[in-house]
Amino acid sequence: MSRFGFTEIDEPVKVGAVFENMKVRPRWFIWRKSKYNLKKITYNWVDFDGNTKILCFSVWDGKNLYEISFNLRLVSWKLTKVYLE
Amino acid sequence: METYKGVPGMSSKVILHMDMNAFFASVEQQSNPALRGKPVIVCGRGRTVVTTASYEARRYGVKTGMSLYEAKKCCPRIIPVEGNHVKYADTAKKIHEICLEYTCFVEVFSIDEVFMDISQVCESFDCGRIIAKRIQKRVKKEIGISSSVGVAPGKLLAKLASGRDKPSGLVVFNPHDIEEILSQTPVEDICGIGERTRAKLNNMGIETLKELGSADTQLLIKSFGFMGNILKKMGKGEEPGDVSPYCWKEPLKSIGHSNTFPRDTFNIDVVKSFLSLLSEKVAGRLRSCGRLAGKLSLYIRFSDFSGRSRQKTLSPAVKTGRDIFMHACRILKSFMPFKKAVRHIGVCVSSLIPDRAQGFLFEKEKRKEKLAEAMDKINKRYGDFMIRPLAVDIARDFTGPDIEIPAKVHGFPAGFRNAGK
Repeated sequence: MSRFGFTEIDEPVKVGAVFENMKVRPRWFIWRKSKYNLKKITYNWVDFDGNTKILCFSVWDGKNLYEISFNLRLVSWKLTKVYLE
Repeated sequence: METYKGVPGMSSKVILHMDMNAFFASVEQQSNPALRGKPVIVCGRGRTVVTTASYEARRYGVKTGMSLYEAKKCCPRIIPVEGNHVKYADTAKKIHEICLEYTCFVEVFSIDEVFMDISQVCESFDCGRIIAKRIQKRVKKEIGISSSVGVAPGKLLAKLASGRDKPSGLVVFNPHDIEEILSQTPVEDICGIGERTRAKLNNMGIETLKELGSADTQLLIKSFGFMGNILKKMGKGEEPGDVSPYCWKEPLKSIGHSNTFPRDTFNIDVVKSFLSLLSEKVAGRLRSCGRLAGKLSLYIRFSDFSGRSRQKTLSPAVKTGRDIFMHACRILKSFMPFKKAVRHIGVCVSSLIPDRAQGFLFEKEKRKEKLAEAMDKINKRYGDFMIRPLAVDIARDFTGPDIEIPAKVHGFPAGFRNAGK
């Protein structure tokens, strides 16, 4: 369903990330068998699901913007939204 | 430390007020580069109103509170973005962390405004300007958000200063300039003086802050009650209270919820059912932060976008959905009969006081409180509105899939159906 330019996805994805200096930097993700190399993390913030911390990232692959999130309790990544210009 | 030898009672402190420019819209533009430089509005879902407009959108006359329809009329190119409060709160915390590197006296006034007392790190207002500039630049560079900053001897004046040059301005009110500033500033420019107070003051021949500060105290008290004393102090640029040390909780001044109906309606049962739903939401939040509400406001917007609102003092203060709903219904009665269909309704409680969980002398009140607490526990575990008044189901049926209310009903005391009649 598309709302205001964003398409909500909410699907699990495989993510390659660098964990360094208490920061997490996603570098690529694989969604529906396609690999997306990330050029930039445009924004990051912390959300909560009950007591579970979720690290959220807006990331850009040079063409489109995506929102991915890392659930610290489940230790899993999700693609939450895609913004297509 | 520079001391002010001018107006008696004027503080010699150095206070900053920092106001993030179009905060929600700025966060979204920072998050999504495709939105930068474009007219963006942050809003809710469905039939919604503008929460914040970017400066690009404001140039077209788009304002907070406008409906999406009105905003698109002002600016057809407008880009609506669904708000994400968690993102904004997290960004605010990051900004506070920068501020806290300079002083522990960082008072969160709202999600996008802070006061800082930098007297202990500043020898003069020139020094205050340098520190303010430094903080402003860091917030822009590290977080990507621009801000307007005011520096002055008190909170009231610092907030006035920050509003003088928006966006991204930095204005310093030196103590020696205060008297002239007060003589040139209209009373309505001060935070806390609204339209009705302004009109009343103007009728008394008081138009500027200097005139307010010089006005007869007894006359002000006669016209405004105890507020008369506070107004006089405001007129002198005096601020009751210092900048508080940092505490990260959004300062709770009020709790409100509102809803735009999927279609306009004259049906009073539908209006009441939404009112019931909103009352429960407000009550749930009141209880979760341990507060009672001393005032209730009800706001209605009609199909022609005109609106009416009324406020009521609640004595004793309340915290249950049923009590809020009953008081709201009394206000609603005063708006009837509806000459136009209702489009939007909002409930807001304010004058919040800590809930000491005492003083319920009557068994009936104790039962109400226990019931509300039990509801909260179940709703917290299984999801919002798992336990809810039956009236809320009318709202769900009217709305269809647009409102997220769980389908299961676990029952509710029958007496609630008659609330408000």
